[in-house]
Amino acid sequence: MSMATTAAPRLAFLREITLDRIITAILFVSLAAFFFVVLVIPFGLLLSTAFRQMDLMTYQFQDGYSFHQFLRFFSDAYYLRILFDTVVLALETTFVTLVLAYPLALYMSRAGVRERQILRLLSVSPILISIVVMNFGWVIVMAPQGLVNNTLMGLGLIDEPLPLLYSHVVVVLGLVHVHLPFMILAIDNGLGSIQPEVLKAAESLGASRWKTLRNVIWPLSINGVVSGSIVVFALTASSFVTPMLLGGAWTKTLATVAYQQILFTLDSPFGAAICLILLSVTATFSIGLTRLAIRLQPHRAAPAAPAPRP
Amino acid sequence: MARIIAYCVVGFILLPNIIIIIASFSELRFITFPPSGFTIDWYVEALHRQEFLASFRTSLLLSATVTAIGTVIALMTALSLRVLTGPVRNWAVGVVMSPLMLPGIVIGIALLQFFSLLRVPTSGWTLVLGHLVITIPYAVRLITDSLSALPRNLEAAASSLGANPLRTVLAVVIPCIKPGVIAGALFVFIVSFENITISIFLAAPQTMTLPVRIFGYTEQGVETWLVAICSMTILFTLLLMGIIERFIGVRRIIYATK
Amino acid sequence: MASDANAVVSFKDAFKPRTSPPPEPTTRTAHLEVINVTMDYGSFRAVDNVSFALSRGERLALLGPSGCGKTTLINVIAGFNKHAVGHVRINGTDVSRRPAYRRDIGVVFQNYALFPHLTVEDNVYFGLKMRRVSKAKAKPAIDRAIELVRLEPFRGRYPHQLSGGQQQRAAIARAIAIEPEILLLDEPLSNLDAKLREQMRTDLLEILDELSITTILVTHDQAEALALADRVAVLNAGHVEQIARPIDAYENPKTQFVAGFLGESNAFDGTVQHRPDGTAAIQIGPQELTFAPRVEMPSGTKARVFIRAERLRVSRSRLATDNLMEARLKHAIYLGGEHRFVLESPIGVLMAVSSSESDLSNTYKTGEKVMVGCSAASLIVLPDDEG
Repeated sequence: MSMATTAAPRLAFLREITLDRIITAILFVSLAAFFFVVLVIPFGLLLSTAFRQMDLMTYQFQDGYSFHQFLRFFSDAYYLRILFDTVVLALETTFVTLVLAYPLALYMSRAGVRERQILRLLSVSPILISIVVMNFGWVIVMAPQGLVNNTLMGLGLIDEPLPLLYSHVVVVLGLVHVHLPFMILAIDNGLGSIQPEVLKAAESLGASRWKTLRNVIWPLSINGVVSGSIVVFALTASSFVTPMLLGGAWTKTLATVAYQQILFTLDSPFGAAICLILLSVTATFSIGLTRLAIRLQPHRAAPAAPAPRP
Repeated sequence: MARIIAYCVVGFILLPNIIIIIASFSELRFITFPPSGFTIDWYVEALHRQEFLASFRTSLLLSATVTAIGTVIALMTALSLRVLTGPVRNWAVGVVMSPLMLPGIVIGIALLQFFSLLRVPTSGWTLVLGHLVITIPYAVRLITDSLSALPRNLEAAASSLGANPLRTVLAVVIPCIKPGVIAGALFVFIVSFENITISIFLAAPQTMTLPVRIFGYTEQGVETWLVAICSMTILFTLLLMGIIERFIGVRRIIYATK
Repeated sequence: MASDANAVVSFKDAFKPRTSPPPEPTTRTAHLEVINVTMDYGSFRAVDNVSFALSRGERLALLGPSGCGKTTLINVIAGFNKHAVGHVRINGTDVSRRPAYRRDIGVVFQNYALFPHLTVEDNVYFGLKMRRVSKAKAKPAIDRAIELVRLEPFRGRYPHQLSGGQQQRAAIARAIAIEPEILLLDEPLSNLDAKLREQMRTDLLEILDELSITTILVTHDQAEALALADRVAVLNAGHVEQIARPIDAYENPKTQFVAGFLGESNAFDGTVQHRPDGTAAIQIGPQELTFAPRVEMPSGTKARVFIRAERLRVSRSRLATDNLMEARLKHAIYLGGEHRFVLESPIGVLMAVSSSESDLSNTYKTGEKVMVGCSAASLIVLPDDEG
């Protein structure tokens, strides 16, 4: 230090270069490089691949960029049908998830500390268990010799097992189950921000429990509902494991098509294009819903962008 | 009434897991529910399936590697993000957290194309990199949470006592955020262990993780030993959750998943 | 004027004589110099061209309302604020470009900022550890610091196991263990409850007297500033209004802000008038008050008069004093040790405080007519700013 302080003035900047600053600089540069390489470049690549074409005989990229893949997608009724089905599936799942999650979250917000903690833990537990395993549980429930069919037959309601597995209903069920925790947490979060005094105030002003729910709690929890719906919609629209496992080969969504294009057809430009279409669908939904929420709730700012799970 | 509905929903959430555990003790080779008889033979058979043992080892090794590397990167990232301000910070946070906004399939495909362009064959390391991308944001979030809960002026105090920035981080900041770092590490482990959407794109035949292997098998008829394997993964996750609850409280898991 | 001295009960500590008042610093003997320090947050000027110097061992209180820039100023001195303009010198050496960790300045933070993962002892040892002193070698210094703040029984405890007052003392011990050139105390007593604050103020005074270290104390509590400091710097909107000994700042404020900020005053606007007999008066509405001018003010000067609440005398009978008015008692509030009177007088509503025995034994009734008076010398008249 004394060396540095007595150094000639024009070398004064050397005093600023200390070991910790060097380490900090190296740290910054290497972290920036890491995230650039693993995130920015691959995503940029995905964007550019979507505008290319692949020769499916040689698996070589053809020269030049075009909208070919998008034109191919939007001019084919088969793919448009899949796009439509995907949106419908995601909307159904989001709606059912909301219907199931809201009462639980509402109950949680009023439960005692201990009960609330246990309920929260139980409701997030699916996040920690592999989707495959959870879907597998539904296979056992819905299988020809599974819980539902055996129960119904035992009760004498049916004579033959119903073909429950690989039906649309079971896909929705599986998706609802996998994504329920995200909705519960989002609504719980929204309800948690309501001050208990507000509810007491409503009560003291003569509102019944139903009216309090309708006129106070629901409007104040809209933000949680919106961000939960955005997350669940995005996750559902882009899920391929559950539709494949529970829906069988004939359930097609954008994500399962992209999966097949990438891993089996090896048409990566088309797969990349479908990924971008998928992202635009979820982005459109999230922007649309946010706008709607703002219109319905002029006193509130837009909900913070939600964070879906990969 | 509200209580009954609430517990019905919780029951719905838990149902598949309970069904799996119960069904795994059935004596029949093909799935039936309710199960008939009681046996642990399927567990024995499952443990004799070499390909599953190999996948379990792969998953364990993968998750451990990802946890070790990912936690360190996440810690450094969280510390660095704190130094930044203004639009630079917003951009950096946006990039680091983007895997939470992007569907798994998009990340998986993007990375697969990236590796194939570089002519890197899928291997254990492509898996590690893919898992790092999706797990780091969770750990960064948990650690950032701990950092923002640090008492005000703590670093200024260390500085006034003569600690340079590096020593401040090592001697004060990191010891104080240790619970957040541990929570982050455990979360990285769990997310990596249960992941399939990324693994399915980046795993090579010889590095198939457990969820990918199970996924492959469910497509060809389901036998009870597979149920036993699923049951074991559920019990393994329960064990990990128990550990988290014991040491740092589950509150952090709930936070990280938001 | 014995009753006047009695009346300033809450500032009694401030006038406690010191055994050897330190000399006013000159540039040559200055230990700490702050020179033209300015600090902007965007377009907001938090500190506006502040300069002062402290001699070795001197204690300065930075006093002002919240948001006046006092905490920013000590952050600049400590080196936490890298973007400040101006210079800070310690022993004549410019430290402005040095980072905080090379300035050798001990800081006691408002929230104490104790390291939660370290015991009291290790908190105190931290600074010496950073100076690469082994724990064995550091022991005497640690012991002395802990002893000074009387925390011996708690040295093995963690901060969360300590009470607020103990945490505060641990923070002091940690800051002084490195034997810093300068000690900075940021609102040291503000996180304590009222009763503990009184006690800690006395303790802090003892500790500081023992240390005789050059100290800057930031506070918004004037009793604290007057009690603990050799000099007080009153800050307003980022600039220094006045730096003076406590008694001078209180008795002889230089600006209207200082006069209004220190103590409890009744303030009225009026016009200065010089009488043929040589005395000066200030005209407030219909009333004229005689005062002793402290600064040159020609007749007709617009000025503000400050009448200290404790310098007002309230009586049922006539009083022998320079200014006497008839007033109606709006409220008489009995506060144990003192009476507070809210009076309606010809010049407006007046607040008076009395702790004299005679007043306490009297029970006043609301609406009663009383006489209220004050001496010419007790009035502080300061001209309005030009423009």
